[in-house]
Amino acid sequence: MTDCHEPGGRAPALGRPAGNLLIALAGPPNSGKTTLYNALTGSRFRTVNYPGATVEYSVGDALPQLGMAARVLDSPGLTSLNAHSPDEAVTVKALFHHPRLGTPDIVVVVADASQLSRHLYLVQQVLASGFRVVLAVTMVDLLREKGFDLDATRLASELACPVVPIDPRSGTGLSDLAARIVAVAEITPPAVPHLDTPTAPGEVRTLYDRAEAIEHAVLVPLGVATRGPLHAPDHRTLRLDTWLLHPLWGLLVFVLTMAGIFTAIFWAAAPAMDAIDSLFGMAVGAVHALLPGSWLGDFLADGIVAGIGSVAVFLPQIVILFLAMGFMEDSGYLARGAMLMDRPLARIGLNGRSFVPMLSGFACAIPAIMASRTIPNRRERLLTILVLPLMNCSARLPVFGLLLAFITPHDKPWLGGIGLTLIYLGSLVIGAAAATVASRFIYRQTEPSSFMLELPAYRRPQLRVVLRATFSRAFNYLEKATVPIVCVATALWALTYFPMGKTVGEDEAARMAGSYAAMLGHWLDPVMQPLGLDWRIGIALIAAFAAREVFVSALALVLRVSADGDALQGALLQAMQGAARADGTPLFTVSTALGLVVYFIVAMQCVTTFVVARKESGSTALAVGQLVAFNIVAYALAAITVHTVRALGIA
Amino acid sequence: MATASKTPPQTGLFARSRREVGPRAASLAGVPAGKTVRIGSVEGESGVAFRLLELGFTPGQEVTPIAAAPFGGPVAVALRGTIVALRSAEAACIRV
Repeated sequence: MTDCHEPGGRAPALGRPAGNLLIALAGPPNSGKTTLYNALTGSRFRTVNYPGATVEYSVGDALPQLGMAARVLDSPGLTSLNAHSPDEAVTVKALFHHPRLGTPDIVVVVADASQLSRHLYLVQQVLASGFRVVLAVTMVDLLREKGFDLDATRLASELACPVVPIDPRSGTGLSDLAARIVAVAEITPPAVPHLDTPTAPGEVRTLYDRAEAIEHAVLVPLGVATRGPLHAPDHRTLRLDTWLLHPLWGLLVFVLTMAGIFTAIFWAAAPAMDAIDSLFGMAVGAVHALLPGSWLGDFLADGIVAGIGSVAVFLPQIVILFLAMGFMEDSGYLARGAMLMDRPLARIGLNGRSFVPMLSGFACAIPAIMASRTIPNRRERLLTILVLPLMNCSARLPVFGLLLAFITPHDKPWLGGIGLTLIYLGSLVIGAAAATVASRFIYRQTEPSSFMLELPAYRRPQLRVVLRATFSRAFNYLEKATVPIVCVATALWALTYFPMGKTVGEDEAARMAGSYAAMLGHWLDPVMQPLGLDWRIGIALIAAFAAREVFVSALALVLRVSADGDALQGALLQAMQGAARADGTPLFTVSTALGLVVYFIVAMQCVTTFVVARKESGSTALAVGQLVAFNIVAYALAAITVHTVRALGIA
Repeated sequence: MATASKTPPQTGLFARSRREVGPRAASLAGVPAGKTVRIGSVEGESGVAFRLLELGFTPGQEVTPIAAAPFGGPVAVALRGTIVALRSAEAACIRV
């Protein structure tokens, strides 16, 4: 290794061990760059073929069997070194000097052989900028189907850089690539790269003319009947698109896909949810049996185990959502969804590129807000960030699951599915309304709006990749949710248990009435009155600001639910049915439960979302506005709902 | 095709059906799906035109609209071995 800029690793996690190469992967969207990254590092990081999905960098060490000591850096896809959106700007900057890792020793540019002229446009820019480059060419099999072969030697001499044909899916060419990287690092002296990009239309045309000439020289006709002209896309993709982009059938498939995903979340998940529910119920019983009659036993069982259980129950629903998104990403359909949604989204001031962040928003607003970096237009990006917390994120599923289970009769479980569909539609309608209002009155259009998006060739989704991505996301969710739940559950349990503790024996009502929580709660009572609720729900709602799903475990604590071997949710539902307000009227009725549903659809209750929205938008006003406006509107709509339902004669 | 000179010229260069007559007749936005045309020039607001060029919509290239999203949404255009979706306003910047 000729250059090790950093003697010793500064930060063990991200620093570069001396003697290790830093390899940056660069390439246009859908070039197979992230698949190569996974193959090189064996990383658990997901591969995606939607432009810009690699919002965060992934860094990993090259697998030892490749025989190179290297750290590999993956980054979002680039069409050109001329940045067009914030994520591209960050990528280009990091290519020249990564804030933590420094300047890469080698840039591996990944190019798709079946659309070589487009991808050579970027390759030429990276070469002109003075990087030490190794070109990895993917999709040679697709090119052969078109009736051409790649003359890699000729391509290497035309570009004056090493060229390695690879197939990251099967692992072909990877060791060759590693050998070339090591050779270049040893032979070619390092230079300081400088940005060299075309700035005038004429310069773009010159680069493309050169790219076409190279393409013409290196593609060798195989002499068999070709499937069509070289400029034609993959024939299977074209055939599928005649259906999937058909004005009628395409729209129908899209609507059915979306409807199917959201129905499956409620229906297909039910058996697994019941199993997890009973499991945690049994765990609560076991802890009580191990530590009978002690406050520690009460705390561990009712505070911690039940708290985690109340969230774990909704894991099946979250897994289904992530699985569906993973398949859409990996197959190439996601970009079509963005294209189909561009027109409706543009009508409310957003962009087709807002589609993927919005869909991710149904899982979690935080990665969704980060994914909105791919929207080039600043106003459309801000509007997208503004409405993302209104998307029905997975943290709300536990809350809606509980409230819907309370409202729907036992013999009609399908009503819950319809209810959830209505909640999803409601969140979309409110999101659209918010975007419309904000685009009229707050964020005016200043720069021209545009939508240009590559629709990648369809690929058979790799089950292994999708499953791995789903499990890592689901695990991430559990991990992220557990800490606030344990913290809040501990605090809430203490507030509702003390100062009475065991002094009142097993009299839950007396212990609760004299607790610290009850003392604090009297301040909350007037605020909760218009919603037909009392201070106990107020405490659970405040707890939900740590994370929305905490509401469920908080509710179990303020209602003093102890499962003791039964299913958790069953015990909680029973407690909800039995709970009464100070004046003896029932606390939970259809009207108050519906009011809470409406509150949770609109309210912005996630502290992390606030922090990320402020950072990504660069606008404190936007984040504070979200927090204040969404909560006030949520409260008002909830009160209106409760009183409207009551006026209709339903308790 | 790798170079413009290799393409036979019978692919409907400047050929117009009755449907296409009008101010947009000579732009990509007016070309029916499945018909291959050759780009003459890229015009319009400089940022948009430059981005279109960078995506590979360069004069001389062959392009084929393959589908359009409903309600006047974006059009999908086959170009240089891939498919790119563009709004019709952007497709209108591409003269054919």
